[in-house]
Amino acid sequence: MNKLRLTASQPAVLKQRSLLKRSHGLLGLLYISPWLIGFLILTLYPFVSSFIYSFTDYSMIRPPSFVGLQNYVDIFTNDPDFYKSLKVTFYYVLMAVPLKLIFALLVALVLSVQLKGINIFRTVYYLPSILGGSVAVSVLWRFLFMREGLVNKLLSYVSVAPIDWLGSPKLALFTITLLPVWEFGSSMVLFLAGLKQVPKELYEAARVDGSSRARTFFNITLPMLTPVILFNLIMQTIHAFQQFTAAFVITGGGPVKSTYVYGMLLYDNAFHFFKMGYASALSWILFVIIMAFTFLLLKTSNRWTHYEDGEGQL
Amino acid sequence: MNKVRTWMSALCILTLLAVLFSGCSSNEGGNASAPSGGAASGAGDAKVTLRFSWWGSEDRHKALLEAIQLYMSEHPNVTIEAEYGGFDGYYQKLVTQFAGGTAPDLTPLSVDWIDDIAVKGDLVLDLYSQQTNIQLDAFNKEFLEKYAVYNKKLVGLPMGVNGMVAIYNQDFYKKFNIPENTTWDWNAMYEIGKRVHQQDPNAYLLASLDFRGFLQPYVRQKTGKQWIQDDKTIGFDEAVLTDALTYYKKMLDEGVIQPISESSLYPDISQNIAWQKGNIGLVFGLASTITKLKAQIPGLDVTMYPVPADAKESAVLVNPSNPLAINKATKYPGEAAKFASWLLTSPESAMILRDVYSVPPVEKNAQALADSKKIDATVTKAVEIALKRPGNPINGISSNQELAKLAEDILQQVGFGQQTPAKAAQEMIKRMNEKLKTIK
Repeated sequence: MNKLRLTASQPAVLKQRSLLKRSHGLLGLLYISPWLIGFLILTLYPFVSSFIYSFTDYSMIRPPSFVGLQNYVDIFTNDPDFYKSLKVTFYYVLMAVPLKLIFALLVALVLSVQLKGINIFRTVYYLPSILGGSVAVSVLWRFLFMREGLVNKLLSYVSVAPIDWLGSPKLALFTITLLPVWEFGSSMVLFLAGLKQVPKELYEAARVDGSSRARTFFNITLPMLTPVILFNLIMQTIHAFQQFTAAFVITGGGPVKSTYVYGMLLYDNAFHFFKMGYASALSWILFVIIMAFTFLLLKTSNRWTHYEDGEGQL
Repeated sequence: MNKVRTWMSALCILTLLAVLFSGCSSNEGGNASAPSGGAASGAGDAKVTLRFSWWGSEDRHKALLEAIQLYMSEHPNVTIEAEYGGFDGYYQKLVTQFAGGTAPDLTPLSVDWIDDIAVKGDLVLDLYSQQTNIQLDAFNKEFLEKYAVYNKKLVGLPMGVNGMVAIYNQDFYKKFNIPENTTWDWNAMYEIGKRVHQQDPNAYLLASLDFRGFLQPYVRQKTGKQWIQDDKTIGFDEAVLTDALTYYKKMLDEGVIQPISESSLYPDISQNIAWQKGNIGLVFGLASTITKLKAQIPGLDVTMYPVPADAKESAVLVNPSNPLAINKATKYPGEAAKFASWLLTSPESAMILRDVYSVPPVEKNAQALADSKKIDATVTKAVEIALKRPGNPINGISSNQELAKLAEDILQQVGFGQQTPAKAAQEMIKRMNEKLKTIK
């Protein structure tokens, strides 16, 4: 293909090239079509429908009827449960995310040593996070922490009176928080990868300079890990805002709504009261809240995140 | 060469896609084949497939499956696909199925769903239209009219006669010297419950008091009116509600009821560990739950729900256990009606079902079962007791889920001491009025 010589056949060549490009493009689309179709049907379509439904009154038994912004107005002015569940969710996020990241980082540090068989431990610590939002684990949690459960039994051996882990409005949310914190595996694996990426020369230099373990950690390891910390922070925050299974299965949102996370509010309105339009509006409000938080985290990340290659600054 | 390879890969991809989608559609085919397969072989002694869905526990599943087998062996052209599970989430699934057009042909309805599904939603068949296929005269006409007919529509066939009673642990009674013939009212509960707890701090007369089992009946006993009247006004005033909530707080404070922090984890009494250990005296429950409870604690007996001497109405819950309804969109209304009728009126079916739906609705079947001792005598006794002083049927709007949840929340707040009964009553009425404005 002679690009330099303009001949009479040039337009034909160009046409051939653009045809090829197009057929390559089409082939590409074909390759990703399974995912694309799934995305269109299972993600984009429900996304758009729920947005439309949020402006209707839809009880599933009768066809939807348009009500404009009434759902949104009702949520903000007529629903004390909305504010209660927002408060509970914020507390939950503020507890769960830092705890989870700290645990993940600590365990990753311990597991980053090069010992024989260390991979077995890494796998074992990663396993809980595969169990994900599993109902079975939530039931297990309930069994562990109910008044006659295993935890209280163990505590009784050291003469501690039974604690109402799940029955006390003050403790229940914390107990629920422990479940996702226990599933820190995925964050841990990312931290492990991040730790591996810290250039060894930096550690050697620090050792030569006589830096203590703690200083090495705070002045070298942590700053080098900040991109991974940011990623984990954002992903875990998004995830935490959407918490539902643990609250639903373990305490049902109680006692006295102390574990009534936003996901429960949504569930109740959608599947208990069958107010689909209202619930759709709730879910879009959550979407905006999560977006705002993510944006905030990303914006402030400039100050504390260090990228080795100097890129990635917002 | 390039072009050939490109086309080969394109062909492979298309094949993969085709396999993927044929996999998807054959799943759908499995669900949809029932109606579409039937439609193809339209009239005559055609093959009919009905989907019958229900909830319950193991003994109910076994009994219904046996009955279905019997029916299918007697009617070889009918195939009945059984879909069953627990009660938790059944309503959510059912409504979603109705919305998506995949609801089963036959399903029982819990009494508080009737308003939404049968009346407002108009999703089930008016069984009066299938009179030729149903043995309507086998049922007690009055019972039908009172409990299964709404807006002149027969929404379902009662699967049994159910009633709310006080189910007590006989060993508990003996341990605390409570005479078996105690007639309960709310004062007696308080006095005797207090004594029980003083005697044994681990024992409680009651596990919990909730909206359906206590607050609604208590208030109705005082007012004689519906919880929410048909004109969407509240059927009680702040004073009555404060009285009820004060009583509730009193019962908790004196240890008549198990502390909420313990019982709130067990919405189902059979999961409550204190009850399993025999530390709870009695529970309010429907006759249909007795067999399930007896499996854990065999020494159970029943007595009348607490009704004060000056009650304006007994508010004792009586209902047809789950009217069996037929989906309005069913392709085989006639066959569905015939099956429903056989299931609930034929003597052979009654012998198989026994008491899994409490006492059978057809009197002579109930009698036959009692005579041959196939039905638990406690269940029969429970229904008899409840029918001696039945309360007025609860109207649709009183079962509204949002209002019920609100009441439960307020009860919890009072129980945990977060609000005084007076303030709680005030708030509840205010929020109920707000909600009622938005309910159609």
